[in-house]
Amino acid sequence: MFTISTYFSMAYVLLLLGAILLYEVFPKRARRWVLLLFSYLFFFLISRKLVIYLMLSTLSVHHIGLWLSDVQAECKLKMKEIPKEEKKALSASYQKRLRGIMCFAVFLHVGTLFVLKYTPFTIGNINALFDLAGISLTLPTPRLLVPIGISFYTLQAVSYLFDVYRQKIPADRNLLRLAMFMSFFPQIMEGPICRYSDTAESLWQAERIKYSALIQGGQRILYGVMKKLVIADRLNILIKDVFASYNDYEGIVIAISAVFYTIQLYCDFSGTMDVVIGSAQIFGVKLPENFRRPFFSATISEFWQRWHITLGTFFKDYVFYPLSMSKPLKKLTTKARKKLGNHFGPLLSGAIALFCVWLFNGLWHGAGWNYIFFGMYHFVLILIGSTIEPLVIKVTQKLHIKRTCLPYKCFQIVRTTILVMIGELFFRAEGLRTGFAMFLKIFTDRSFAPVSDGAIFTYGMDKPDFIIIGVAVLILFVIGLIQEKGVHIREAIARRNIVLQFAIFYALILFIIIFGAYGTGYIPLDPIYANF
Amino acid sequence: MKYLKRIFTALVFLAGLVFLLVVASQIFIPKSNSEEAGMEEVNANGFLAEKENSIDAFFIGDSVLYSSVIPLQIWNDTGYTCYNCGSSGQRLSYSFTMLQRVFENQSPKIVFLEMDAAYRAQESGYILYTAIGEALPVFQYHDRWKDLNADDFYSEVEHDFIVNDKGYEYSTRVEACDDDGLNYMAHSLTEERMSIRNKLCVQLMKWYCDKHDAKLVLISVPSPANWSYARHNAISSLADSLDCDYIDMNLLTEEIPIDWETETRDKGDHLNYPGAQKVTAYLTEYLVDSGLLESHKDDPDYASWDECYEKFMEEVG
Repeated sequence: MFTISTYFSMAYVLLLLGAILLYEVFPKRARRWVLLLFSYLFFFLISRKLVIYLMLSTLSVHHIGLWLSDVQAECKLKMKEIPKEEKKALSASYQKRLRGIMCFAVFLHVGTLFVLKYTPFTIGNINALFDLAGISLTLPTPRLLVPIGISFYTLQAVSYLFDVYRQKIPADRNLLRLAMFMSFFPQIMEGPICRYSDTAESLWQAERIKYSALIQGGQRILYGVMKKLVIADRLNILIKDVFASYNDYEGIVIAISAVFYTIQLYCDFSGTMDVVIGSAQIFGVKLPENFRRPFFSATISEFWQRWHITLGTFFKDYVFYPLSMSKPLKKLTTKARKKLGNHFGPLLSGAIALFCVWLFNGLWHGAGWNYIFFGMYHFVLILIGSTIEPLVIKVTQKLHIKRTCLPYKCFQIVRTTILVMIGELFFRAEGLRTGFAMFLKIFTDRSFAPVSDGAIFTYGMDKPDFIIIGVAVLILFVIGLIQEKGVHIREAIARRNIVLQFAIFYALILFIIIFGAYGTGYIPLDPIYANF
Repeated sequence: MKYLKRIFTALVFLAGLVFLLVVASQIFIPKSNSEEAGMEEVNANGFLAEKENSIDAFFIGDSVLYSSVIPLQIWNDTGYTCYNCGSSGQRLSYSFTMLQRVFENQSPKIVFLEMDAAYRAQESGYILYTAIGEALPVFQYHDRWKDLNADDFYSEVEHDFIVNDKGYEYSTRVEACDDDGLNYMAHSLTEERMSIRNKLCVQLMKWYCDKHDAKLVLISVPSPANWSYARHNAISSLADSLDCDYIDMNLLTEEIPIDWETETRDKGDHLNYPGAQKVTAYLTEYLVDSGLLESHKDDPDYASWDECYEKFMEEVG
C-alpha cells in the first residue's frame, strides 16, 4: 500500500490531504484525535504490526515520567518535614532512587533499540572473534523486524524522560498529548528529533489551519520535493552502480561519485526535512530545523552544528554535557589543567566525552564498522581542529592572513567540504574495507580519461543529467547564500504581489514535473535516514 | 468574504496550473509513435498508426503475450486483422489505459486480456501516475526535455510509424525448461488470491468492452514459470463472475502441445517462435469459431497487411 519512500509518494500526499481536510472539518477538541489517528495510521501503514513497539514505548514513557514525577514530589514533601541536617542524606537517597528509575528507563528504551538494531552486528562480530580464536562455534543470527523510525522516536522518548528527571519539564499526565508528541506523523520516520517542549503544546493546542501557514508549508514541501526528485533521485543512477562495483570504475569516477553522494545525502535528507517541517507548519506546529546550510561551514565542528542539528543537540545535551560534567571527568580536567595548561587541559576530558558522542553517533547511523569509522573520523577531525587551533591562529597572524577575509573563509569552506565528502565515501561504501579500497583507488587510478573522453556520460547519467544537476545545485546554492544573509525567502515572497507568488509556485512545480527523476527508467531512492 | 476570496484565488491558481500543464503536455507528447520521436512502448502502441477502425481484435498483456501471439499469422490464415499490445512487465492499470487508447480510433469486436499481469503488484501511486500521465502526457514524457526540438513546440501529433510485426516479438532462442517446471499444472482446489486493485482493473476493462460492444476474453498463454493451477482457479472464478470466456492454454496440452525442450526461449518463461505458432493457431481457431469477424483478405484497403506479412516471412526465413 505505502512504499518506503513515503514522504514522496502519492500515498503520503493523499494522507496529508485527508488529515488537513478532517482537521479543518472537526472542532478543536476532535482535531487532536484526528492528528493522533492519522499519526498511528501512517505508522501502521509503514510498519504494520510493529506499531505495537510505538504503543508500548509511549505507555512506558508515560508511566516512567509519572513515576519520576511522583518520586520527586514525594522527595519535596519529605524535605519540608525533616530537620535541616537530615536533608542532604534524604536528598541523596532520593537522587539515587531517581537515578535508578532513569537507568531502568534508558535500559528499557535504548536496550530495545539496541537489541532490534544491533543484535545481528554484535553476533556477527562475536562469531568473527570465535573464528579468529579457532573456536568452531557459530551463534545463530536472529532475524528481527525493526520498526521504521525507532531510532528517532526512541531518542525523543529518552529526551522527554531526561527532561522530566532534570525537572526541566513536568511529567505529562495526559497520555493523549504524550502520544501525539511521540507519534506525530510527519516526523516519525526521519525526525527531526523533537524535545517535548518544542512540539507537545502546539500539537495539543490544535489551532485552526492558517492560510499563510498552508501557503508557506506548501512552498516548503515543494522545495523539498525538488531537492529529492530532481537531484537526489537523478544522482542515484550513477552512485548506485559505482558504489556497488567500484572496481569497474576509474579513480576520478569514484571521486565524482563521492561528491555526488554527499550532494545526494544532503538533498535526500534535507529535502525530506523540508516536506516534514512544511507538513507540520500547515498544522501550526513549528518543528526544529535539522539543517542550516551545512556546506557553508568553516570547520567540521561547525558543520555538525548545521547538519542533522537535532541529533547533534541531543548528543550534546544528553551525552556530552552529562559526561564532561561528571565527577571523574571534572577531576581529570582539574589535574590536566595544572599539567597541560588552560587550552590542552580541558581538552583531555572533553576528548573522552567527545569520543563517546561520536561512537554513539556512528552507531546510531547503523550497525556496521563503516559507521563506527565514520563517527571516529569526525571525532578525530574535531579533536585535531580544537588541538591545533592556537597554532593555526599563530601561523595566520605571522603570515598576515585575515581569518575573516573572504578568500580565507572560502578556503575553510572548501577544505571542510572535502573532508566531509571523504567521510561520506566511507559512510556509503559497502563495508569499511570497501571504503578504504575506494578511497585508495582515487589516488592510485589517476586516469582522467572518463572525463576527457566523455565516458563519464555513459555511466547512467548523460550530459543533460549533469547539466540539470548543476542548475539545481546552483539554485540551492543561491538560495542558501540569500538565507545566509539573513533573508527569510518565503516570507519575502509572501509580501510580494499575487502574480509573482503564482509565478514562483508555477515555476517550481513545472521544474519538478519536467526535471524530476520519476517514471519509466527511474528507481526512486529509498529514504536514506529512515533506515538509521 | 475573505474566505470566498481565498477560494477564488485557489481556483484561479489551479486553473492556471492546469493550463500550463496542458500546454506543457502539448510540447512534451511525442509527435509520432516511433522510438525516435520518444514514444513509450513502441511495439505495443503501434496500432495508433493503423487506419481508423481497421483492426478486428486486440491482444493486451505483458511479455508472455507479445512472445506468444503472432497477428500476421492470423491475418494470413483468416484475413482477420489483430494487434498484439503486449509490453514488458505490463500492469493491469496500464492495460486499461491501453484499452482506452484502442477504442479511441478502433472498434474491435473482440479483446483478449492475458492474465499474467493479474499477479503483478500495482502500487496506488503507479495507478494514479498512469491515469494522470494519460490525461496530462507531460507527466509521462517529462524526460523528453533532453530531446526537445523546435518541432515539438508547434507540430501536431501524427502517428505514422507502422509496426510491421503488429506487436509480436520474434525470437528463435531456445533455452529448455527444467524438468521440475513441467508439472506446474498439477491439479489443485486452491485459488491464488488476486489483489483487489487488479480485480477492479479487470472489472473495469470488462465494463469498458461492454460499453463499446466488444467481447472480452481472458486468456493465459502457456508459461510454466508464471502459471499454476491455483491461479487458473482464481481466474476461472473471476471469468465466471464477469460472465466472460476464459481460455487457459496451460491446460490445453493436447490442443497446444508445447515442447518445453525446444519451444521456450528462457526456461519456460516465454515461448519462442515455434511455440508462438502453436498458440496463435489455437487462437485463430477460436476467432473463426466465434463467428464475430469477417475476412479482409480480398479488400484492397488491407493490402498493406499482405506486405507486412511478406516482410515478416522474410524476417523469420
